[in-house]
Amino acid sequence: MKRTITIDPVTRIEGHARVEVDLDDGSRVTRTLFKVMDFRGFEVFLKGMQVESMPTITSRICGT
Amino acid sequence: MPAVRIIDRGCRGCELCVDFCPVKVFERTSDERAAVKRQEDCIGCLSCVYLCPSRCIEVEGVPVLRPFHRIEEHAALIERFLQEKSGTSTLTPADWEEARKDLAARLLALSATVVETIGRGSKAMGRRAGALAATHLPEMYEEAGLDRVLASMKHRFRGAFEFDYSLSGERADLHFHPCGLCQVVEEAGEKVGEAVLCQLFHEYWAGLLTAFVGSQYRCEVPVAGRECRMELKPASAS
Amino acid sequence: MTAKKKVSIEWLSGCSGCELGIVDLHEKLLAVLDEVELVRVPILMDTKDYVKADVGIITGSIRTEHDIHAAQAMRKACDAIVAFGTCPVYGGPHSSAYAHTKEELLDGAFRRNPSTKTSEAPQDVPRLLDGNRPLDSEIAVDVYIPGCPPGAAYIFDGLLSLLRGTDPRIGPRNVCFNCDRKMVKSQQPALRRSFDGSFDPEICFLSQGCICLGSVTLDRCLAPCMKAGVPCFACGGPSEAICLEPQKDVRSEVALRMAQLTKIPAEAVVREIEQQAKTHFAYAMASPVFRQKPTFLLKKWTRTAEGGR
Repeated sequence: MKRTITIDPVTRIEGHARVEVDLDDGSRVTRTLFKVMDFRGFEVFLKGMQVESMPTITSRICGT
Repeated sequence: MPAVRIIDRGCRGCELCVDFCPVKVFERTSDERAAVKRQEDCIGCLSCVYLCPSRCIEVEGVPVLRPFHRIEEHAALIERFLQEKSGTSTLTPADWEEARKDLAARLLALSATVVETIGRGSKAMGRRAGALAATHLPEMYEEAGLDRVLASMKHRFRGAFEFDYSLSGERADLHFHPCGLCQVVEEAGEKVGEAVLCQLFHEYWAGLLTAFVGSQYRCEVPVAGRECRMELKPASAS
Repeated sequence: MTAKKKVSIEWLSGCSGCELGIVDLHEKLLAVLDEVELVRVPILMDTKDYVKADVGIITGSIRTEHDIHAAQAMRKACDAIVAFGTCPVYGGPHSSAYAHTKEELLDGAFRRNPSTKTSEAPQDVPRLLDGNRPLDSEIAVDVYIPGCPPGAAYIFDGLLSLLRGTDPRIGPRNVCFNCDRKMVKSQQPALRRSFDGSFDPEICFLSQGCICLGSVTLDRCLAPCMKAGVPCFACGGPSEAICLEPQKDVRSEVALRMAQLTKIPAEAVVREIEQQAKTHFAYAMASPVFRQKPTFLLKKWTRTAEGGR
């Protein structure tokens, strides 16, 4: 029997994530998805900021 | 009297307080910090509190009123009225009506709060407000006669309401047609003249004149409505 | 001994640095753990439910639909809610997204990103909201502890006073309070960037012509940056004066102090901060404290500085 195991949310990591594991009839893994639920847009809003603020603000992408 | 205190740990020696204090409460010390030297002169303007980069100056014993800029609708309204370069020409009559209603709601809420908080003492508060307002008017310091004072009040209040006045000796008779609060009170379904807002305003005038003349004044309003007649008499006269 | 208070932690859109901030309590954490029982900490435990708790600590801001759901679930489950860190209090560093639309952000990250091969924004994830918002735009908050992350001393003081029902000793001091640099009057004629030449480590950045936001920032950090030679970038959020007084703003306050300490005219400082608004207002742009100052034109400034990009 095909089925999907979902872990939502994944804990004891930094941030928000969901893991989906698809299994086939023989309970073998056919596909694993790691979904990141977070989006803040650092790629875009950092443009136009002063270069000297980069070390301090990019360290806030991940605090762990 | 205000009490001024510098928390020494935070003084960075910038001397902004020394430079800006209008009455020179602060002095610079030999170790390049600021110290409170003439606390008795403090007028409680709080300039130093806001200027100090560390925010390490404390002034106690000064009542502070906070603006309501965090109330969102209010701020949005102000923003529209202060639009850059537009002046007030882009505002429609509906905008002005909205602003008027906003102000009316605030006045009613304020007067209701005053009564709820201090009850029967609210008349005294109206008088006190008048006395305090008087200290902000230049006429207070000119020793101008009552005639001159009322003439300039008429000019100052021209945006809010029109009134005529006549003087007989110490007594002043004011004739409002109508007063700016009339519509506010009527729309709230209250009786003009008896509403808290009206009474606070009457006592405010008594407070103003008391401060200007230097002796106690009473206020009576024999006629109230679309036209109001206000009699301001020295308390000693009756 | 009375029963231990239950503490639940949830993170919204943030970086989890604030959870690390709690660990910065080091041995003091043991004193806190004597009084509390942690019932939900996503970074430490596998509890996925919103279990009942006395105190709910929320880090991160409201950025996605999931954040709204999580914040409301926490409000229902907890007696008191603490907005912990600059993100829930003022919006945090990703507040700078205020200068862009949601579409621009997704476009730049997924469709026009030179370093990825994706061509579509991901589906099946919580929908991105139009803007980044502080926590109190969604639920009622009982205690605010800004700071990015809040310094250990402030966390300890704040948590213990909340648990014991006493007044915290945290005051309204600005970052300058704990900075060791001396503010001296100088002849500095023009503004300098922090990479222009060398700076005297004993003297205030403002005296040396470099914009430092310490005097307009609430001290929740004990001023570590200035001690390491970096001017304050206001990660702790605006000072008491700026929060409470509508006519006071970061640019006017810094300009006034700089003009007094140096020979730089106040207008030059105001202009520089406006042109570099994205840098200088980065951490609290999402907050109504700034947005609703009637004179505040953040979007216009950031657009002009970027040449309408």
